[in-house]
Amino acid sequence: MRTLRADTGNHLIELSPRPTNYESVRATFTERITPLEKFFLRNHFDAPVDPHVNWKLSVTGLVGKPLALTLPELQKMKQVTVEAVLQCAGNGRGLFTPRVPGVQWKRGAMGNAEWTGVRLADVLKAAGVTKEAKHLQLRGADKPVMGQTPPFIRGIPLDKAMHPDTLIALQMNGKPLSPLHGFPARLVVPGWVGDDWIKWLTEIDVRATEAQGFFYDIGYRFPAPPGKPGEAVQPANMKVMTKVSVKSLIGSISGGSRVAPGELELVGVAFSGEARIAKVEVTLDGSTWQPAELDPHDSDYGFRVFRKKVQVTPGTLTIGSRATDSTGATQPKDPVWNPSGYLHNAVDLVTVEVKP
Amino acid sequence: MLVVLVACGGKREDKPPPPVTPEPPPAIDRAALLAGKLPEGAPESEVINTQCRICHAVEYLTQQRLTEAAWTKTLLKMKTFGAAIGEADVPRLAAFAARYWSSELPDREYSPVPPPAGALP
Repeated sequence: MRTLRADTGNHLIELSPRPTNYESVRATFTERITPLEKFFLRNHFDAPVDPHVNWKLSVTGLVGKPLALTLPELQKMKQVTVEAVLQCAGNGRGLFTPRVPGVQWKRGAMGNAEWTGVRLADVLKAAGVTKEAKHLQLRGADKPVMGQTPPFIRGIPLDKAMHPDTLIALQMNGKPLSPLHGFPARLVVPGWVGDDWIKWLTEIDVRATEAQGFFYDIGYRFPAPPGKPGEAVQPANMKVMTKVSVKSLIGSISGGSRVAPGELELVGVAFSGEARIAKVEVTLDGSTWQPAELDPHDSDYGFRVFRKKVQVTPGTLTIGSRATDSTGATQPKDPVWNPSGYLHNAVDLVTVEVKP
Repeated sequence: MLVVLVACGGKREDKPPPPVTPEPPPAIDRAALLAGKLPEGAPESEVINTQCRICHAVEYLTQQRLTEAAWTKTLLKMKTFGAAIGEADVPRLAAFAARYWSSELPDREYSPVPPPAGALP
């Protein structure tokens, strides 16, 4: 008798070996906490080599007492844990029509983890931000190959930085951050797009004005109002992205698959940037909806697992899920096209054959 | 033969140059493209290998499905980022990329892989 084959551990799709960009396979999205071996990886540049050697986190600018904190110093401060979804702003970029340039993420540039570390507010309080301070400019230890390539500089407003859930994380799912997830320390900005979650964090510059740099001034902006698909947007209408949009995905089925008639359990995850999930509905025909059951575990920024058992009979099904958050925001039928393919949150429909 | 003789007999300098038949572009190896590879032997592939790959893998290019206009914009951005691509090479590379990786080409089908080195603590 043959035993079941061991789990091969093949859970990621390699979109680019260098810089390291991997997305999670769809089947990842049936559990609340995303295990590290299934967690997506997104990098702008090569990861720094030995970033922990001589590592210090500097806090400068509009502060009474500039700081240069070592890892042991951060480890000695009060540690808190926050469960939060990390999602690349470009998750779903590869699903837009017309197509847009960039890493062609489909559905798997998101994951939910328990992040443990120091409250950013505690560090800022220790440095004593002045009353003129309004923004943080952030930078990590990763560097571009070419001198002309702009460094990955981002910024967040001071009020988000002072929120008790915004962390300088040292751990992910109870383990020290891995080299590709930003060891020794990364920012965790719950509810906001991943580009703010700076890895290998080395510089916090407290300022009166917003951050400056290509990846803040030009990159990672979303049009308001949105333009027509394929049309250029006036730079003045491109606004800095903050929170992620309400979204859901069924992980238990994949497009083009075949299932047997009878009972079929649909399992997936739903989340929204700064709101909780109020309801998730599923469809079997792409147009009529029925409520799914939400798992009891609920959190401010994490995945909410949903399930629905349905009876299926031979034929072709168009299966998908639609989440609505506590503000009433719901997933649209069509994504909002934008020039860089950000914040795709349209209902994801897959075709499944039911055959005995 | 007669035609050749007539053609050779007149005042050569007055004759218009013979029509130039453009070299047919190399055949597209669709399987290689769908596997995310560059066309072998193309001079543009050489530029990609020697310039673009200084900063990133070829997959950054081969997973795109963009128009020539979109490629022109991307190449000009890459020039500002330090890519050593000549001004004259931009239209040539944009046409090349748009021809091989057009929106008509299906997306690559990937086989899942284990996490790379450095992904786990």
